[in-house]
Amino acid sequence: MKVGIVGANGQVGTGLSFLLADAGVDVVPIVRSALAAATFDRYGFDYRIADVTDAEEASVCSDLDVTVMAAFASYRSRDELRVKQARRDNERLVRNAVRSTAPDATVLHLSTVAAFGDEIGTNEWWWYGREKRRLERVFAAELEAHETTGYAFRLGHVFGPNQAIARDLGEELVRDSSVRVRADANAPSNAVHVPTIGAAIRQCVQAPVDAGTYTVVNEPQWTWGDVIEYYAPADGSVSVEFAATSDDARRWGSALSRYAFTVLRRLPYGTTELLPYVRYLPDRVGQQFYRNLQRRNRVREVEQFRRRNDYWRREFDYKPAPGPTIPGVEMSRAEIAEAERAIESVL
Amino acid sequence: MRERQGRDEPYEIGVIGAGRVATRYHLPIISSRGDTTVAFVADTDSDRARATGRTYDCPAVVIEDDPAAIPDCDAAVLAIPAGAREPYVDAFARRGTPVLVEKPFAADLDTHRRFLETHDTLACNYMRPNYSSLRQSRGVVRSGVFGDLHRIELRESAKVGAIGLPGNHYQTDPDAPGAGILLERGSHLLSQLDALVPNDTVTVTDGAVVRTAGVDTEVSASMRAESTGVDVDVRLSAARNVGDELRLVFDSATVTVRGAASVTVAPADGVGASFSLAPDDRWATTILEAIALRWSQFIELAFEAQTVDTAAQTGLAVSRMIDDVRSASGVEQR
Repeated sequence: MKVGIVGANGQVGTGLSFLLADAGVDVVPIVRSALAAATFDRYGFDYRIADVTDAEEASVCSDLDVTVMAAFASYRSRDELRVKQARRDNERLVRNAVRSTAPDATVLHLSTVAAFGDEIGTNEWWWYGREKRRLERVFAAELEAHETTGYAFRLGHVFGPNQAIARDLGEELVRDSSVRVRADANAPSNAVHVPTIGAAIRQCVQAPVDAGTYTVVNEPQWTWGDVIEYYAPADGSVSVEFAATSDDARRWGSALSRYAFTVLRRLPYGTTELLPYVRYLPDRVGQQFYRNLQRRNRVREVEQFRRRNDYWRREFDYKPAPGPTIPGVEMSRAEIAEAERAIESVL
Repeated sequence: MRERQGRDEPYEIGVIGAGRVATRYHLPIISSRGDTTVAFVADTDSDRARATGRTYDCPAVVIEDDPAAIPDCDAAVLAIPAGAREPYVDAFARRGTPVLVEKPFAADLDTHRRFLETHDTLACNYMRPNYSSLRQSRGVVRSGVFGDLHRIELRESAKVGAIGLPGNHYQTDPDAPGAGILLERGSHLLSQLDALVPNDTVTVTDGAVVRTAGVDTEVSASMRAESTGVDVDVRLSAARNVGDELRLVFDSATVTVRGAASVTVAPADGVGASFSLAPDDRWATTILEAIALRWSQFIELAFEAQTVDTAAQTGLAVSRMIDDVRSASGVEQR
C-alpha cells in the first residue's frame, strides 16, 4: 500500500511518515522543495518534490493508494499576512489532492478539533477553525464530485516528538522547576499522539470505516493530568500544581478605599502626585487609604511572583471534542511511548 | 556620497531589499536610532517596496535592471540574495557609499575578494558575535580560567518541519548561489568560530556536504585553529536534530553556549554541579538586539573610523572556511 503525505515535512506529516514507514507502509513524502525533503532524503524515503497547489504538479498523487493531505497554508507566514493567498492555496491543495488521486484510492484530509468552534469552547471566529471548516466543505464537495472515498480527521492537539505543543510543555517542565498549570487535572485534554493518528489511518484503509468526518484523539482520552505526567521528568524533580480557577481578586478593604482606587486608576496622575492631598481627609481615612495601598502593592507583588511559574494554554479550557471517533484506535500510554521512540531517535 | 547639510543631520540609509530581514530588523533599527533615517526602500517587487515605503514613510524605489538608478544616500544596507549583490556593490563603490551587507557576505571566496577589491567601506551583518553568550565565552577563553581550550564543537539544526518556503526561493532553489544550509546557516556558525579564535588561521582538515536534489542539507567538518592547536568539529543539518549549541572543552570545564544568552559551565569530567552565567546586559540577548549593535558598529566604522579592516568586518575568514569545506568535501560551488 503506497501512502503519499502531502506536506510531509510539517510537524504531523514528519512524525506520521516515520511511524507509518516503521510499521512497514510504503510512505511517499510529498514536499515543495529540496530543503524540505532533506530529512526524507537522509532516511531513504522515496520522496517527491511537487507543489500540489499546481494541478499539473499534483499528478504526483496519481499512483498512490492513499493520499494524506497534511499541508496547510497559514494566513501568517514569515512575517507576512497573506490571507487571500493562503485561502487560495488551501483550496487548491484540497481540490488537487482529490482530483489527482486515482478514483479507487482513498484521500484523508487532516482537519482539527478547532473546527468544532463553540462546541468545544474555541472562539467561533478564530480564523484557523473557520478556515478548517471551510476546507472540510471543499473536501466533501470534491469527494462527491469525483466519487472518491475520503475521510476528514479532526485532530486533537497533537503531542509528540517534533510537535510544538510538546516542546513548549517540555520547556516548562524542566528539571527542578516548579510549575502551576492553569488547568483541571481531570479534564479531558483532546490530546492526540501521532501513533494514534497512524492507527486511525490504518483503520480507515484496512477496516474499512464509513467515509466521513471523525474526531481523532487518544483513546481512551487523556486528561491534562495524564499529559503533564507523561512529559514531566521521571525523577519527580518538577513540582506541578494544578490550579484551574483564577486567584481571588484583590481585596480592597473599605468601600471608600475600593472606590478611591477605582477612581485613581483612571486618573492621569499617579499616587505620588495625589498623596499630598490626603491631608484634607480625616487621619483615620488617610491611614486606611495608605494601608490598603500598601496591601494592594504587596499582594500584587506576590501574585506576580506566583504567576511567574504559571503555565496556561488556551487548549486547557476546551471542552472534550465530540465524536464520532474511529473505532479500533485504542492505544495505551506504553504503546504510544514505544511507537514514538521510532521518531525520537530521528528527530 | 550624498552631500549632508550638517553634522547633526541624521545619516540617510538606503535599504536595498524589502524582504523579511529588512522589515524585521534593519528598517525598525534604522528608523528608531536618532542618528539614522530611512532614505528609501528598494525592491524588485513593486507591491512590497511600496507597502514597506508606506509603513516607514519613506520613498519606495522599484528596482529595474540598473542599480545605478538607486538614489543617493549616506550609507546602504544590502538585504538581497547573495547572487544579486555584485552590481550594487559596484554601484555603491563608485559613489563611495559605505555598505552593510547581509550575511553571508558573498556566495564564495572569489566573489568576496572581488568585493573587497572594489569597495573599501564594507561590513557584513554577522551579528552573533554581539551575543552576550558569545562575548562571555570569548572572555572565558581569553582569561584561561578553566585552563587551555582544547576543542570547540559547533552544532546547528535547521528547522525540521514546515519551512514555509516554496521551491523557487533563494534558500531552496538549487540554481541559486545562496541556496542550502552551508551558506545560510554555516556562515552564522563559522562567524561565531571566527569570533572565538580571532587572528587565528583555521584550517579545514576534513569535510562532508550532503545535497538533496542539488541543495546543501547536511554539513560536517573537522578543523584546526593553527596557532592555538584547538580542534574544531562542525555539524549542521536540515535533515535531523544535531543540536543547537557551541561547546568549548577546556582543561577543567566544558562551557556550553545556547542561543544569544545561555552559557552553562560544567566540570570537564561531568562530575559535579553545573552553573549558568547571567546574561551581560551590555550585549545582545536577542537577534534584534544583536543587529542593533551591529548597526552601531557599522555607523561608527562608516563615518568615524579612519581606516576599515574590511577583511575582518566582512568575515573573510568565514568565506574562506566555507570554500575550504566545499573543497574538502568535493562539492563545487554553483
